[in-house]
Amino acid sequence: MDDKTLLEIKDLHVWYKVYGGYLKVLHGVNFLVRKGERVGLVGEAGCGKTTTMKSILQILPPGDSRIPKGEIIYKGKDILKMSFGELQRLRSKEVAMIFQDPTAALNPVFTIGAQIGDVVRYSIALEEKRVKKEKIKTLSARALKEVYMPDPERILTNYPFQLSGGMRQRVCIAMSISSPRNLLIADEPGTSLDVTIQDQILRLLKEIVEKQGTSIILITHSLGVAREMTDRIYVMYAGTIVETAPAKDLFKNPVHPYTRGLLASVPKISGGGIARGIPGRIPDYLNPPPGCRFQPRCEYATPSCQEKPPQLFEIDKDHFVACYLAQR
Amino acid sequence: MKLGPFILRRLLLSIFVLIGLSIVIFILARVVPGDPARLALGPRAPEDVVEQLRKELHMDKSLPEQYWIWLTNALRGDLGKSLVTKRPVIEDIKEYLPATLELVFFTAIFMVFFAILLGTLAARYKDRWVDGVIRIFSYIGVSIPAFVLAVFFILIFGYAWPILPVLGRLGSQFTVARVTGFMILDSMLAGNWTAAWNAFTHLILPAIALALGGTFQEARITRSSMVDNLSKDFIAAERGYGIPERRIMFKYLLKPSLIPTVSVMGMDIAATIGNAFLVEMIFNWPGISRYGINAMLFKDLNAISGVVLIIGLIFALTNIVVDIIVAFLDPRVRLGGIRGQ
Amino acid sequence: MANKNFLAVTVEKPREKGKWHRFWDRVSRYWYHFSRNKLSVVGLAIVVLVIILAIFAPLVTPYPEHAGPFVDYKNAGQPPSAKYWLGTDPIGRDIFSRIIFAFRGALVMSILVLAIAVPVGTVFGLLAGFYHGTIIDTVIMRISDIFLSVPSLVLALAIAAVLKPNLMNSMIAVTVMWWPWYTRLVYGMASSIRNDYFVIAAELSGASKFHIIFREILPNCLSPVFTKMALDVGWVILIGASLSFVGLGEQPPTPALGQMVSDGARYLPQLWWMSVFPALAIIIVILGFNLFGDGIRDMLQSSR
Repeated sequence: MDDKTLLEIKDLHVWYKVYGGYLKVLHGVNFLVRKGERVGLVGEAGCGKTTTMKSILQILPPGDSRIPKGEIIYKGKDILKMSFGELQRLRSKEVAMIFQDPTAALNPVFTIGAQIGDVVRYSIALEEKRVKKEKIKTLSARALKEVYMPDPERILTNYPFQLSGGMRQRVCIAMSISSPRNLLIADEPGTSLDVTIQDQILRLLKEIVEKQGTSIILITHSLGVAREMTDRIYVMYAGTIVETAPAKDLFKNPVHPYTRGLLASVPKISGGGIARGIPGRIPDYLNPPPGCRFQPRCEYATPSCQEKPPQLFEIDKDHFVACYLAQR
Repeated sequence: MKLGPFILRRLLLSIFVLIGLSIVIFILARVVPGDPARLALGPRAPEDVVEQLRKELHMDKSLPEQYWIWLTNALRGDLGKSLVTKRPVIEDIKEYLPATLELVFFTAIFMVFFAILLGTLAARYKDRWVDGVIRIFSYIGVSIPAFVLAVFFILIFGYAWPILPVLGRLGSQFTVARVTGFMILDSMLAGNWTAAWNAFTHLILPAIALALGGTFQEARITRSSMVDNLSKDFIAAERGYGIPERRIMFKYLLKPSLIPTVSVMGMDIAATIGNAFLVEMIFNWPGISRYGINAMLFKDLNAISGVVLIIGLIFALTNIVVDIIVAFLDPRVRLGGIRGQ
Repeated sequence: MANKNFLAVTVEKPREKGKWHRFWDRVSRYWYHFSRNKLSVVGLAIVVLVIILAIFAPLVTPYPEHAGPFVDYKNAGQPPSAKYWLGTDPIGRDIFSRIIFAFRGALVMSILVLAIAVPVGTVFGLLAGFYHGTIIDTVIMRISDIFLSVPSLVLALAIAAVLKPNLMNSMIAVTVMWWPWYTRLVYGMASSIRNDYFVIAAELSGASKFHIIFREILPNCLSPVFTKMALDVGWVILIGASLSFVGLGEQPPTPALGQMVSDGARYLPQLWWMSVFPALAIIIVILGFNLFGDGIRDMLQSSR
């Protein structure tokens, strides 16, 4: 770990309590974000991307989730061992998350102004005991202006249901950048919107990140988006990181069978018919397969893959793969 | 706030429904019994006297005409004379209504307060023992009819453990001049604080008997909507932005969670008003419901129709109030967002 | 290697099963969902017990003749004992026997009220939903609004009072108040199902209105209707007990639960058993039907 490291997740395990036991969703996630770096996190739906990100902010559903093992080190401090005050500081000043579905992420019965206002208030409440209402309003309006919202003063008095999906997504982004942060987490921004608006949202994010020099973790299930937007990509499968490499390397030289499958399943504009895809689906988290979690779907699986989960192994500079195939 | 048109729409609908109700009452009081005049005077009255009363009741005219006369009279406040008290029904209503309103008002306060308190506790300590105890009590609470609870209270507090008064509105040692008809308010106006306290202690048992079922039902609704909302993304987002936990609980979680609770309030108040008919009888509470029950037992048709009409009116008003509170809590209702989508 | 299973797409072969076999399959699936909450099973036990007691009342009660104009001043006002389990009233009648007989009236009432109110309310709701937005819709729904504009118990009391007070008329009064709830429930579903593609398809293929309403729309509304019915049995018993408590239900000497409580209340506190035991009987019956209704709701919701 060098001094350029901003966030490092080590061997994170997260379980969800359900009827009949625990869903062992995260199974040893390792993850690193450097200062000013744009990191992509790719994987199919339900593989634990959002869970990993929510555990950074400690906003997993309380009571139903537990973290049996692992460390999340932010600026040299383990988030899992932080006091409540330190955690509040982390949430209000350091890290912000943009949720996948803007409609669900906004409280339906409060105005946009009330919601952004509180985010602004608590991001500066630590320094200033009394925050003036006027100041909150100006800062909220400025945040909306930064995401190119027309008529921010009016938007502040609106309720979420009065805005379109794209506008709601902008509001969510505005909340996250209303005060400067060191790390932004964008969970599939715009996936619930149509493609043109999704594109606008991504451009907007890129611009903001470049302007403010913020680190960003971009979660997506689209490899194309990850390639365009990020410096380095993590590929996740069923609660484990299977491969990570600088964006260009990953496309040039994918090693893990799952990454290769993912790349092959992207439909190509230049023809070639329907993409190949990967047979099967994400395993049952209640009774996950032994050893490598991808092994039951893997065409190269050997009996030894069922014994022990493979560890990340550096095959090239900054290129890690968790597969016995790569070690041989 | 575009509350104005919303309230206006609700008022118009209520007026329409009340006119419908008046037709039902008219049919019930004038058509179903066959000969109300004979019924009013008894079987031994001479035929010419009965005929005289039929004329007075306009029974020689057609039914729509009769209804029109009855309705216009009712709108002027003339609901006819009561058979039992021999007074105009409207006078009786004026005398007895405040006691019932006072009781129902306190019941509603009790219901809302404890429903939210218990519901929040159960949601906060979901699947812990607090939640379990509240759940068990709610099963039992919902299953005890108000009048059964009232009888138990009489037995317990009237005989076994007399710490609270069980009969009437005020101890006989007090006299309070009637101004508004609301006993606690009148006592306060007279500056008689001991009487006000005494009146309040008289309210406690009937109010609990009336409130219990609804309280537990609404506590369960509050709990489930809170648990539901707790797992929503917006709560996680607000936590993630560093908004303090207490502010999330009492602002961002409570407001959306109260919408279902308040929405069913109308039904629970309906049940309260209905049950008041029995509970007032048991606690000898001099309200409109006890008056109504007496009227029913003596087939006092004018009084029955007067009471049902006034209760319909009160119920319509409470429903409007409930709707306004819902509209206040939920901008989608207030600004027409639900219908539009 | 059980874990390899998820690789293969499992296609269950439709096995030839007997009619009975399939029937039991369904029953056991329903039972599984019903019995997941143990309280539902308790409710079912209470319901079954009450029904059996009510049906065989003359056989299971120690003094069946006490459920009528019977007088035995020698044993008047006896406290609970081995001879009179729940004591006797001031004219020497056994409270236990009278409670069991009172179950009969309560059950008959709730069955008859729902047997009339549910089909009537459902049909009106279906019609209003099918003719959504027309004059038929408006008329039906406004009429049901009128009946919902007064607390049910109040208007039921008024109706029962105007008619001659007896069990039959109290049932009529409650039925008149009960159907609009089902109209409202079914209307909400029917008016949205009405625009579903399968209904439009049936319409386009020339199906009759009768067919569309009763064969296409109705089956899709039934589950919530049955749920509400199961939950309503307890409420009807409650309303019936309230009416008889006031004296507008079953008339003495035939016993009714509410009437027994109000009779007993006059002899408090000396003959406390006269009102306390019928009151507990009311609570237990309503609790049983409520728990049972919750179980039915769970069952119908999760078996879909």
